[in-house]
Amino acid sequence: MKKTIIITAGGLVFATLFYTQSLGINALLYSILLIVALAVSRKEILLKSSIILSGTAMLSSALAISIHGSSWSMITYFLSTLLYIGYVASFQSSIYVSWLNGCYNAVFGVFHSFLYQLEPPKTEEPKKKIATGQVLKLIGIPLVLVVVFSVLYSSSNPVFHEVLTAIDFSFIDMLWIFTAVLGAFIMANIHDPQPIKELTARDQNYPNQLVPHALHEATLKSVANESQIGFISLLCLNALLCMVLITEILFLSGITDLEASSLSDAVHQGVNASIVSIVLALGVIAFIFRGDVNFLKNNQKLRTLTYIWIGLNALLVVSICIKNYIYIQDHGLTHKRIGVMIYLFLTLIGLCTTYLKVTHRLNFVYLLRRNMAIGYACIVVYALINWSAIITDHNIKANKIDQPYLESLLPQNALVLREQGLYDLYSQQKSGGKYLSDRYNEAAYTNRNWQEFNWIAHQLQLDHEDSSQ
Amino acid sequence: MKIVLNRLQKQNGISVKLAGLSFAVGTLDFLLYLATGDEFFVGLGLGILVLAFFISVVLFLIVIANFLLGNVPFKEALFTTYVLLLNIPIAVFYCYVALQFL
Repeated sequence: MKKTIIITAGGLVFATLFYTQSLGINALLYSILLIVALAVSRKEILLKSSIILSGTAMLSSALAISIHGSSWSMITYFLSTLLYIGYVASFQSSIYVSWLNGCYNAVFGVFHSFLYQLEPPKTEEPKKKIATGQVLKLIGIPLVLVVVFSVLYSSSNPVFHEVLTAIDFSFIDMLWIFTAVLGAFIMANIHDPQPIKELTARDQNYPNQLVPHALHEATLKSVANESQIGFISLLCLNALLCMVLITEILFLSGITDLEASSLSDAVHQGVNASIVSIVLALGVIAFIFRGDVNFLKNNQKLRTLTYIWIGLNALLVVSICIKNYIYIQDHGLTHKRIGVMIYLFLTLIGLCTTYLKVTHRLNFVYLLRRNMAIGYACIVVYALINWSAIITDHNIKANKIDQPYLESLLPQNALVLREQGLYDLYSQQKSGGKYLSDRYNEAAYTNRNWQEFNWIAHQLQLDHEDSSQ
Repeated sequence: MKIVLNRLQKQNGISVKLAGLSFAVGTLDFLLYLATGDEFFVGLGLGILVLAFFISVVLFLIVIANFLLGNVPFKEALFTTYVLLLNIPIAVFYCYVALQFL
């Protein structure tokens, strides 16, 4: 009974909130419904940290949608919702397994008992077969007969024809019903999430720590050889990186003399290549310390070289950061330049976790678990902030105005543009977007129902009403 | 789960596997188009779509016929038709995203 109520309410609320509506406060309301529905079915795990954190991420991204509605807030909302469902299915799983569990429940939730044969297999019951056919016949045959005879009577009797034509079913919106059924199906899928058992059990039994093996003489020699190769490779790479860093310092000291185009090339190509090199470096370290090399007694020198390489890579991150900062100072903020900063921050986190991996003899799965969780947390925080408004404000104050770019950031920067008295000019979209669908249309944006409530659209609407009075 | 999927009635097993295959091939083509921007992948995607559509329609009818003839349990038939139909919204989503870049 409780299940039927939740599923029916889920369908009705889904259709009410989302049918022919764009995303706004409806995302927040649906998230609250989801939390309540899952709390009803899983009271006992409601206060687990993973569920609280993923639920908070879902609510915060839904809030961001109803405040500024950037694309990132929408992407994060879907990611967080799937993660939340995944954690309710199994709260001790790794983040990537939880996502898979979330996707599994969102798509195949109702088939879980069938896929795991949780229901006792039903024996062949010929009576039931007859019952299904009988039901079809009971509905189908009278329906066909009624339709055929109605058509015949309607053409033979004008009064009956008038009665038939007077029946108006236009109030029934089939698409609304379809949306409600879809919503009920989604709720049926996710109201009692279950994990993919094999995958979840394997993930939960997989430790972060490397397990030492008893090494035979032959294996020991092979590991020692591997360690030697790693040592020499790291020595060479350290020397190379030292030289690169010296040239970086020379480049940075003469950066003010460079022309704008040279600086642009240096930043665009240099940043990409440097980031790839750092990610590759992390891969090399993870590969060298993937197994028994961690447990060799005389690997202290290799470890020291690895720590030095991690440190030098961190310096490379700092140098890229300085280049990007100078570029921002010269040419203003953009989403991509902020993206580079975040990427660098994540790289720095990656270097820290790699350091921890080497120090504490942790495995590659540890890196995957920690880095993915931190990366996701970064995306959640990034999505909360209205970067388009910050970029516009910064660039206008720093006098780095690029009208086509600022126009492309509408509507998220609309309030800042209005404050600066540029909104009326920029909202005309004279420079034009690449695609027609990209262009900002004020009337379409501000004309919203309560389900689509968005703070920026609401403010623009109020402003519009004030000016028309 | 794997054991259950292997125990599906023959035509249903083939339907589920083909649905998975068309999803995998379609997704690969979609990702290659996003990565390269080469319009060849749009044509290839349309070819895959048409082929998958006709195969899925035939399989769908076989599954329904098997169910109505009483050869397949209700839940198994429902699961198979659901997996076959699941490719429709996915294909629509891929087409929608791909059209944004054309």
